[in-house]
Amino acid sequence: MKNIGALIKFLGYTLALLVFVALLIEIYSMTTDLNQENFKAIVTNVKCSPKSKDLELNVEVSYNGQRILKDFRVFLKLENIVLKSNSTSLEHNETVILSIEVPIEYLRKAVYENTSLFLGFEFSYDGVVPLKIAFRDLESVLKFEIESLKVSYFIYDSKYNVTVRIAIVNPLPLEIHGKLVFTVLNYSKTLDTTLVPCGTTIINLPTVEISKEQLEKGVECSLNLVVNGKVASSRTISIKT
Amino acid sequence: MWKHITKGVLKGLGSSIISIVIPLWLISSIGSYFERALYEGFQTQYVFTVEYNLEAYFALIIFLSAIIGVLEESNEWRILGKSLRLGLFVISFLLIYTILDGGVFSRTVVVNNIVAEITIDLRLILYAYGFFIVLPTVIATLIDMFSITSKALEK
Repeated sequence: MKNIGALIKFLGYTLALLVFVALLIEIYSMTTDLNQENFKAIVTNVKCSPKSKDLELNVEVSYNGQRILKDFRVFLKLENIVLKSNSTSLEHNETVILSIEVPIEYLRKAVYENTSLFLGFEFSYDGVVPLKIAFRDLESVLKFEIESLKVSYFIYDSKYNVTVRIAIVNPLPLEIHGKLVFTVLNYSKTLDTTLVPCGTTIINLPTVEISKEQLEKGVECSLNLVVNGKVASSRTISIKT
Repeated sequence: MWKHITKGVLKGLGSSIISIVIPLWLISSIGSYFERALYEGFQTQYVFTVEYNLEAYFALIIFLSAIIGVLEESNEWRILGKSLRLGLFVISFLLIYTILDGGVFSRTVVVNNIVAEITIDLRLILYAYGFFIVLPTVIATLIDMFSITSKALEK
């Protein structure tokens, strides 16, 4: 009886040792891949359609290591909500594009409730060790870009009346209501702004009076788009004659 | 008497070191190794959410195991010693399972001002420990206890 117990223990310990060694090799290989940045996920395209109720994110994923990444998925995490793409297997030097569809309600939540947005990927390394990496950089992909279009000058008694026309690009299929804070020298004005879904909104900023000397030196014009009390985008435009 | 005590202490020490301390030290080392790799890989600040203090638990487990080893060497207290070892073993496993967050290591790092959450699932190691070390030891101890009881009844 005692020998049976010892045999069971011996078998168990031997199997445990084998599993530990195998896992150590896997983890060593995985950390090497991490150090060499062999896993990559880049948002390549954001498909936005004003009539659609979803936003489609295309994420290019690639792997340059020597193993197989099973059940590879990209995901979008909005606090407790996780939206996942279809799964695929990635092998050495393989690049695949995976898509995530984000419903409009979740986007509204992210914009108006200041919900944190994480874009990440998950996989099972060699089908053995599950790993998940999520980055909070989606805000840089889905941000509202402010572009300067045209600066018009009108000379008036050694002073200039300056009008700036800007464009704000909205990458979301949502109508965005916010405030645009326009500051130049001592003048500041807040404008109520509505951004069209998946498009560019052109805004003519209020005309400001600037002296010739100041314009020759150059004047900084700052623009802050505030949505739900939070600065969603900023831009500084330099005006100079 | 001292011979029995020394033998019991040595057996207790050996048993706890082989079946509890070494495997658990290995598991926590793998977790720490992964964390170091994150630090070196991402070249960034990293935040520990759990500070492991396994040494204190190991010391307690080894101490209790040595006392239980002495009980196991005594003819009168052998069954009690075996039962206590079984209890210690199961409690140690559950304790370590809790300390190691059930084998899921999750860390938050900051890379170029971007917050990243990295999670590695090492539950497989804890399952392997449970199935291949804890379970066979429990079965072997039960068989041992059964054998001792049978012999005592025969007498």
